[in-house]
Amino acid sequence: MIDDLFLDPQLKYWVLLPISIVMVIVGLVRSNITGLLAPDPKLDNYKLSREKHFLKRATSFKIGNSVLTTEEFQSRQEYYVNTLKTTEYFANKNIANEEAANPLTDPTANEALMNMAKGNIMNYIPQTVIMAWVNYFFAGFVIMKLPFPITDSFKTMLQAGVVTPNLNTRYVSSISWYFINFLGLKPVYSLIMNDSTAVNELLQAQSQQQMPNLGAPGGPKVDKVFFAESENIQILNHDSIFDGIVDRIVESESTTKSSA
Amino acid sequence: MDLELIKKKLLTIHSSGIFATFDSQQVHTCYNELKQLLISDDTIPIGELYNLFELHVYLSLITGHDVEAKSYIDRIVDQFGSDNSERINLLKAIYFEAIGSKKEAAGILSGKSSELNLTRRLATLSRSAKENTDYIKNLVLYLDLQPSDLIAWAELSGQYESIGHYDKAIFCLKEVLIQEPFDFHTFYKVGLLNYYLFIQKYELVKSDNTLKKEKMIELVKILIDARNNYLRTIEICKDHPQSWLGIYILCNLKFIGKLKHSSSVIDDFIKSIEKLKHLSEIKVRELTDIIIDDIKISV
Repeated sequence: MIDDLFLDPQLKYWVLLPISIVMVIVGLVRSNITGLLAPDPKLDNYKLSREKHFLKRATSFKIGNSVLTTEEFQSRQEYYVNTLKTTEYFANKNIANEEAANPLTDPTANEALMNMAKGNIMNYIPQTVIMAWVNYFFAGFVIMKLPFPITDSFKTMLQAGVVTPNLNTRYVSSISWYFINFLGLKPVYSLIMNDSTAVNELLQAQSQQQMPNLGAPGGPKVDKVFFAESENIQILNHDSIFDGIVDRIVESESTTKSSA
Repeated sequence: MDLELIKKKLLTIHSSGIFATFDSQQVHTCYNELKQLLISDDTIPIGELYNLFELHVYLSLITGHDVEAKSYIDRIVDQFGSDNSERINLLKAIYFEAIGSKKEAAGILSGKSSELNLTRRLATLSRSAKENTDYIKNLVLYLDLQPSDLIAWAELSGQYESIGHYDKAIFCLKEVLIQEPFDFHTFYKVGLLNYYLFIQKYELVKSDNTLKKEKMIELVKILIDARNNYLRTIEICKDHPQSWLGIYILCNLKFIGKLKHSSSVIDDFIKSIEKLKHLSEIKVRELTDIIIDDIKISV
């Protein structure tokens, strides 16, 4: 394994910093343009809103039930399992009998599709352009050495585009630096934008993981989502945060006292 | 300044609803700008014009120009009618509320229970200091439409607390905690409500010297919940003085001395109280200005 490689200090000024700065600036510009392109907020249909809210409540219960006692958990579990199987909270109660509308022929879906496309374009185009830029100008560059040792399993992550099986894992290639920036700029954005919600929106757009988009074209059908959720809740294990809390507190207080 | 830019700005203010958070200076500037714009620009497209009218109604009501607000509502109603529109009904209701005719406002709002904004407004309107049955009913109705609105759950909990329905108030706060599991204020509140619930139930049976075992276990379970929620508050926010005081009071209840029956629940509770008694006393002395001997616990 080659341990030492002499890196030209100019790489820092002409490759490492430019990639980082360009990525931050493009991220900020993109979030502003997305804001400008966003459609005016519209009033949600109350039935659809109710359906989404109920699903959110059930999902929150699935995730956060540890704050409940066993009795509270059981009564709520029974309620959710039963209610999610009924049509009580469905926006459209006849959904099971209806054929899924073809999103391409459904006129009401056009706007939603357009917004989705706009969001995706704003996300993919800048990323593709920057990646092409990095790949074109800095292909195969080793641009920095991490100041700490790291195991070999990080090699594929840190040395993409550099075909040197023996190079120490601490060296980072230009395209890998791009990916690290892509995934890890949240603290920088939150520092610059000073607004955590905007940062979360920005990162959510990047990660593309969202709540099931009920009622949107191509989205999952509500009865399937509700049924799956009821099954998830049925098999939940309940661990209460209150179990053993007295001992935890007494112990933490005694350790604080002994360390003081 | 360019009229087009002012129009854009005002339309954004309208669609975002941000005028609700303006200070009085900003509201007046915005109101004057809008008034000027409506006078001087007669080329505004009709859709935008009526959005601006709607904004003008709100701004007029905020700045106290009731007559002007009414005239603009009339123009909107003339154009669109008011029977089928939630937005126009809301506007009318807010106008009636602003001029003090609460009855008429409630009449408009309660027309259709399925419309979200009207229900929300109705819930707020029915709030009164003396009587909260209607307010609770409307909050429950609203929560059926928006089941994960945490502010409404917290508000409902406060209302139940004010009429002594502590068990329901606890239920509502648990809904908040499920979504905000590190909200230590709410944990403290749940602990406190459990303590109130205990006192309420104990008052009913305290004259009975031969308290049945089941009843006693039920009361102890409430105290366990109170203890657990106080302790959870402490676990999240170390040195939370009120919670330590709550624990201290729990540990020194006279009721605990009367626990005669033996059961695993009661025995475990007494053991935990022994562990916490001394600790809580030290903490109360350390964190608060309260003199321990001044605390009188009657229950």
